Amino acid sequence: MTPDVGVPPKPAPPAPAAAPEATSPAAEPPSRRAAEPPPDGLTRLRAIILGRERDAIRRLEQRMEDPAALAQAVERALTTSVRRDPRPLADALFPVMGPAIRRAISQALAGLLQSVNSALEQSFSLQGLAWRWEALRTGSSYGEVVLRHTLLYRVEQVFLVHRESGLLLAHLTTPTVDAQAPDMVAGMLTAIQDFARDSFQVAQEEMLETMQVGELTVWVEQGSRTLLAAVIRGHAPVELRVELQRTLEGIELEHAPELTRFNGDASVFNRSRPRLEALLLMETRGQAGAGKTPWRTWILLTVALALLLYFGIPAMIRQHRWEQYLTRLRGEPGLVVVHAARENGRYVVRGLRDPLAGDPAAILQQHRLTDEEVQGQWQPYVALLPGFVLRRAERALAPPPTITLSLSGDTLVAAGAAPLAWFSRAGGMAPALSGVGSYVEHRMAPRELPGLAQLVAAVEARRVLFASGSASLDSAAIQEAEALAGEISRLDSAATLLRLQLGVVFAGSADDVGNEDINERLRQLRGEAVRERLLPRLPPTLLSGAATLPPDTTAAPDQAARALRRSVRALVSLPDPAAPEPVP
Amino acid sequence: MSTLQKKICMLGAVGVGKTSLVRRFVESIFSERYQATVGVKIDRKTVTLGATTINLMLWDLQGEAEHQASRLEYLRGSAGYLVVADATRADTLAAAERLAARAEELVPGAPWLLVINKVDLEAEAVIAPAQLAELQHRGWSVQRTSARTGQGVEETFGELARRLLEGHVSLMEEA
Repeated sequence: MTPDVGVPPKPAPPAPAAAPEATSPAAEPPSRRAAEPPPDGLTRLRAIILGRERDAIRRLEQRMEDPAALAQAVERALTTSVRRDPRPLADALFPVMGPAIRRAISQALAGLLQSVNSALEQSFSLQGLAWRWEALRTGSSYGEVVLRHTLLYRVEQVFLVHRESGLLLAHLTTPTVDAQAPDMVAGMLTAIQDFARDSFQVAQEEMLETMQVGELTVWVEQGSRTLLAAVIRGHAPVELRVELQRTLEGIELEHAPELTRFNGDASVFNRSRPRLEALLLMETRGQAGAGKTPWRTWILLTVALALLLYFGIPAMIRQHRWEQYLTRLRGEPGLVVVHAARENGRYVVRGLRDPLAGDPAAILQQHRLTDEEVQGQWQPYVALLPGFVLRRAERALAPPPTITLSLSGDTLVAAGAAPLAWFSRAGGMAPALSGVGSYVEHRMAPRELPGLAQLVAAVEARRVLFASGSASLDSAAIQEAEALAGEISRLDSAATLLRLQLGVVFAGSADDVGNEDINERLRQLRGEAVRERLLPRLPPTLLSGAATLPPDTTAAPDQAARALRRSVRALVSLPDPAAPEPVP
Repeated sequence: MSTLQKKICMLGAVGVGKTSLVRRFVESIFSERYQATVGVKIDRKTVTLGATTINLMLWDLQGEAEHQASRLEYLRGSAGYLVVADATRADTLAAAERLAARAEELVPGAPWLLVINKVDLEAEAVIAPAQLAELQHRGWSVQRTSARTGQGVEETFGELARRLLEGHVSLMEEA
């Protein structure tokens, strides 16, 4: 680069004595002359002719030797060169700066890549989850926690301290660190040095090299005039101490004059800041796991999920069914759940069960649970619920269909028609039944039984009408007869259900006009005509025969009443089971 | 605007009020326990003189007592010092004289001031003005302060800073 800067060729080195005398040029020529041999004629002539030029050359030489004067000239030359055209200087510097810049950039990129890798790697791992939890717990950001754990060490603060006075020469921190009153700390650092030395009576050159405060370590290196203290978080390697020593040596060398006459102005030490900045480095934890994908974590999670699905969901369904089953059992009359729990891997329900209550096993099946899953232990008992009392009574008394049992308070009521034997048996047994306090019976004729009475009335209300003096069925009569047959069929069905024997006779009647013999004959003929007509429609066992009704001797009040008397009606017989069997 | 740092020591017998002088007028991060343990507590007093800011790093040395000498090795590297005595206790002035003599040996030529503290307790004052006049006659600079009322405190630090700056400038000129 020399050609571009244009520094004149270096002159021959001056006599060794010249440099120290440079500060007092006025005094110089006589002393020099004194040191030289006595001048001959030529020399004297040279001095006379060239004396001024020689002095000028000497002064130039001295300026070339003075770094301060040279620096000014070089600075001016550089400034002018850059102002005119910055390219030549840039080209000249490029071979030096280029690689350095490239190296710095690649290092920065590598660091960035590493931290991104590390962040990605950790974000899905168990470690990452643990750190997230720690961040949550301590209220710091996730980034801080990651940094705290992945950092092997970090130099957070550097103090350069004047040894003798304890005054701070330079102090640097990493951006995130909040350092308080570094000048006071610097003073105390030296005071503590003295304190430790005096307290333990060691040699003057011995020193307190390490201080440990929680996660922080303070390493102190001592030079001849300065102390270099580094505040380190984490575990720094020994190389760092070597680096501290090297830095301190470099600074003491560079600043030797300033340190000798240091009198409180620390601004000159700004020059050493780059050296100190280099110490504020970070070292991340070894990358043994670098590039490793978190596949293990994924497999672990998948397996855990599968296990959860395989065991968890059926268990949840089972639990749900079990709860439904219990709810149903508790609502079921005649079942009392005393204990329900999960024991030794299966559900167990214990309780009381009335024999008439619903079957817990059947209910279990309805809820799609098996005996394997649920074990039921039921003790029999008698429920005094009205429904159960009634059902027990029905079971014990076996009433015929013509009897209706009901419960009014604790009184069992039997209403209806039944054989005498049944009534006497029921009267004996009923009061002995559990839940029955007393027994009452309402005996009824079969035709009075609710449901039958209406049907009987409907049958007996029908009239098949005939013309005067006729026993043949006209179309209206046929229609009425058919309707009558329908009513009889309905009544018969009901009677059969009640296990009663129905009997029907068709009774003819006649009006009060004309000959009584003829009328008697008409009554007979009319009854048989209807019977003949309906015989195919009805079971023959019903129709015991035709009958005649006795003549109505009263005078018919009008024609309508008279017409009504020219008719046939059905008479119903329903034998009472309570009646003694007729002797054949 | 330039900034200078100067190490200043505060010397004196126990109970003369050095710590009180410091407590009310300086910036501090360390507790007073430091004196008992390490023997010194360091605080900062910033004084501005013209275009120069001077950070006086005050080394408040543990008080001299009968059974315990101040750790005067802390004086090393000091640019100046204050020797404090209590206006109400004659023995503290004797101690101050003794300390001043030893300090002069350790940091010869350094500017220093004799500080007579607790001057607000006039009724109890035992140090006679004649006594002080005699000391001043010997070339001593005497400052009268009260840490309680603040009287003379700023002036004392200002005066010391001024002398330090004078010394500093002359030193620079020499260089």
